[in-house]
Amino acid sequence: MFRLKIITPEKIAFDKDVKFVEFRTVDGAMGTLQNRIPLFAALAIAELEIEEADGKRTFFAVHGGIGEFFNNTFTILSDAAERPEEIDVERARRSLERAKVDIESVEEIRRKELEMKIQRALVRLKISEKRERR
Amino acid sequence: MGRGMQLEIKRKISSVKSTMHMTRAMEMVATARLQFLRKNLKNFYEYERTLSSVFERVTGSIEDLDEVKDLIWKEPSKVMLVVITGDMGLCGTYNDEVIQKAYEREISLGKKFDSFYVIGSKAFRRMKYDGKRIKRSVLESYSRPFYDDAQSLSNELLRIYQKGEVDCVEIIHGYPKNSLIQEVKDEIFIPIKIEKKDHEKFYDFEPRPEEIFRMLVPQYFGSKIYRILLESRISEQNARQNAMRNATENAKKLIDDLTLQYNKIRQFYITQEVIEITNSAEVLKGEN
Repeated sequence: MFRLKIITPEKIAFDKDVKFVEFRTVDGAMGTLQNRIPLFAALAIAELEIEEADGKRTFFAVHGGIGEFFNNTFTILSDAAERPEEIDVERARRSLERAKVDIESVEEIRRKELEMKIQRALVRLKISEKRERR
Repeated sequence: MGRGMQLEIKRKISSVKSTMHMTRAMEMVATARLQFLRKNLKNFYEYERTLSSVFERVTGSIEDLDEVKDLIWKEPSKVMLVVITGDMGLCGTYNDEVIQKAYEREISLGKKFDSFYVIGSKAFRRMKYDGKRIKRSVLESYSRPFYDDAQSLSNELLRIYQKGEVDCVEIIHGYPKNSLIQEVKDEIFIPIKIEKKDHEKFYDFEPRPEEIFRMLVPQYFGSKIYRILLESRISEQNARQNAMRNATENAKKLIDDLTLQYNKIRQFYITQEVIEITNSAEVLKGEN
C-alpha cells in the first residue's frame, strides 16, 4: 500500500492509502503499485482510477498537471480533480458543444486552448458515466 | 450661543452617526471577505508549496539548459512592472503605498524601465493622471480572485514576455505581514533563476525533464499569480478593516464629544429659563 495525495488549488481532493493507481501521462497510460522508484510524470487531461485499501474503485477526472512518486507517496498536483458525483454534466456538455463550434472559426493560437477545453469536457463526461452505471 | 447652535450640533451628531453606521458596515464586510480569502489561501498554500518544490527539482534536473534558456535569468534590459492595487478606496494608505513603491522602482530602474501593467482601477487612474506609460490595464475584475482568472493573466504575461516585448516582469503588490501591518513586495516573476542540482538523478522522468518543464510552466506561473492576487487582496481587506475600525472609533469619540457639548448647551438654556422664570416670579411677587 502507498499514500495517494491529489492536491488542487481549491482543496485537497484525495488523501488516503491505496493499493493501485492507474493514470495517463502525456506519453501514455501508466499504473503504479507500492514502492515504485521515484518518478516525475507530466499528466494528461484524462481519467484516473484508484483501487483503495478496501478494494473500492474510485475515479477522478484529472485536468493535467504533474505527479511525483517519492518515498511511497504519490502526489498529484492538478488544476482540477473531480469525482464522478461532483461533475456538472450539463455544463460539460454545453462547454463541449460551444468549443466544438468555436474551434472551426478560430486562429491557430487559440485553437490549442479550445482543444484542451474539449479534452476537459470529454473527460468530465466520461468520468460522470461511472456514476450513472453504479 | 443661540438656539441655532443647539440644532446644528444635533444635526452634526446624526450625520456622524450615519457615517459611523456606514464605516461599521464596511468593516464588517471586510471582515467577512477576509475570512473567506484566508480560507482560500490556507487551502492553496499546500498546493503552491508542493508545486514550487516539484518545479525547482524538475528544473534542477534539466541537463541541457540551452533548451529552456528563454526562461532562464539573465540581466534584463526592458523591465515591465506589474502593479496590483484595489479597485476601491477607503482602505487607508494601502493603494498609495503600492503606487509609491512602483514609482520608486521605476526611478531606480532608470533606462531599463519599459512600461507598467496595471491591475486595479486605483493605480490606473493615478498613473493615467501622472502620464505614465501603461502597456495594459485590467480593471474591476479581481474583487475575489479566481484561479482561472489568474491562469489567463499569467498566460498573458508569459505571452508578452515570449514575444520579446519585455525581457523581465516584476510584480509589485501588497503583502499581509499580519492583520495590522501591510507590506509592499517586489517579486521577479519572469525569468526564473535555476539552481543546478544532481540529487534527482535516480528519478524516472516521464517524459524528459525538459518537456515536463515546458508543461509545468503555465501551471507554475498561474499558481504564483494566484497566490500573489490572494495575498494582495487579503492585504487590501486588512487595510480596509483597520481603516474602517479606526474611522468607527473616531466617529464614536466625536459623537461623545458632540453629545457633551449638546448637553452643555441644553443645560445652559434650561438654567437660563429657570432663572428668567424665577426672576419674573420675584418681580410679580413684589408688584403684588
